Amino acid sequence: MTDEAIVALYWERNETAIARSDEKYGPYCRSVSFGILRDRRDAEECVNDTWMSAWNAMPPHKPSKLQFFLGKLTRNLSINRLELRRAKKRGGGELPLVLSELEGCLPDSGSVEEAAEGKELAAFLSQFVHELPEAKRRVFIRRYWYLSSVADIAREYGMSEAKVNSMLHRMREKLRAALEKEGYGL
Amino acid sequence: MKREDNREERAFALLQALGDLNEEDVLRAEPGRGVRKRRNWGSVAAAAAFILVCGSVVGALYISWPMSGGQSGSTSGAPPVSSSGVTSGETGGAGSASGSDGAEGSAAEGTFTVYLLDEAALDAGETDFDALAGTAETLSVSGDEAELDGEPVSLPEGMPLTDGLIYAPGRQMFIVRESGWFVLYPVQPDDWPDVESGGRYSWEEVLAVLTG
Repeated sequence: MTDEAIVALYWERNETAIARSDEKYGPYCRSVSFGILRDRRDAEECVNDTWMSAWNAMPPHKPSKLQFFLGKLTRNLSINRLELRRAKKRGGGELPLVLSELEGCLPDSGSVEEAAEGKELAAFLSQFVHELPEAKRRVFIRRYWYLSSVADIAREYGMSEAKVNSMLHRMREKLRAALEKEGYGL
Repeated sequence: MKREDNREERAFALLQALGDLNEEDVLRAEPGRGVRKRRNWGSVAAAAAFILVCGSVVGALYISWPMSGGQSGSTSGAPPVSSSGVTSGETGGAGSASGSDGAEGSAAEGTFTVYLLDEAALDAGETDFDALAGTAETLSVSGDEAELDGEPVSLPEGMPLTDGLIYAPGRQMFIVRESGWFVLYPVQPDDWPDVESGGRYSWEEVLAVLTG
């Protein structure tokens, strides 16, 4: 079933939209969630929450790329669950490491939260990442969108972990400089 | 616990803002797609020249051989393994998944990362995809020949060559991940009469096929 047809089911408030979404993108969403949470039960719960979120989001949303739309919902739900797990000291997977790395991207002052509420920061980050060379872009996105471990990234792309860490470090430095230059005052 | 200088909260906000990256970029980086390793263009050029010379010599001999039966010099039809060099384009043939490293016209050439399916774990009842995708090996394809970590291997007809292939050696089955689906390519389709080569299956269906 095409994405347009599935989105139409949501708009018609036809509950088979969820079954069709699960059929087509369930494996992808489970893959995204499991990559972040590393727990099958939690991942399954996040995917179920994804369908609920999608049901609530459409309408009014009418995504052109349903896979990405659903994947993003799953990512957000999974990260929030991971953060909650971490707060309860039940282990945070890759999240503490990723947050620690991203702290290095932060210029010295300002409020990211305020900047992040505006769409400008998201658009800037999207453009920054889009302009990276293909291989570096994939590594960056695997690390900071999919929260994949450095080991998994290195294995899949045929690189050493040291090389992946080095690439990520240089890209974070570049991002930090770009954020400062754009005056986000993060 | 109070976060030092609020930096962790700011980093978390940055992480969330990174959720809105370009859709195509995110989907192209999906785990399991991989990228092709950087090519040694010198070796590729040397291999291509060698194949061209050998092919020309063989072709000339074939044409002039007294018992050739007047063949026009066309090659006698690709053996099955060479047709495995065909890439579908859509499913990420050589370079098309990454889209950037100048995909060559011939896809029957290059090295790719293949993950061996942990068939012992599968037979023991393991169903988790991440747990079953085992060690990475290198698939080297050159013309009609293919080797997996130095050992000759037959490739299924019509299978796109890309990084991230999964191979179950005991079952002689290749699996390609595509947009959340799993595409099956049996090396010997006659051994799998119920499997559609190039057909899309869910992971549960793949498990059912592999465990019989």
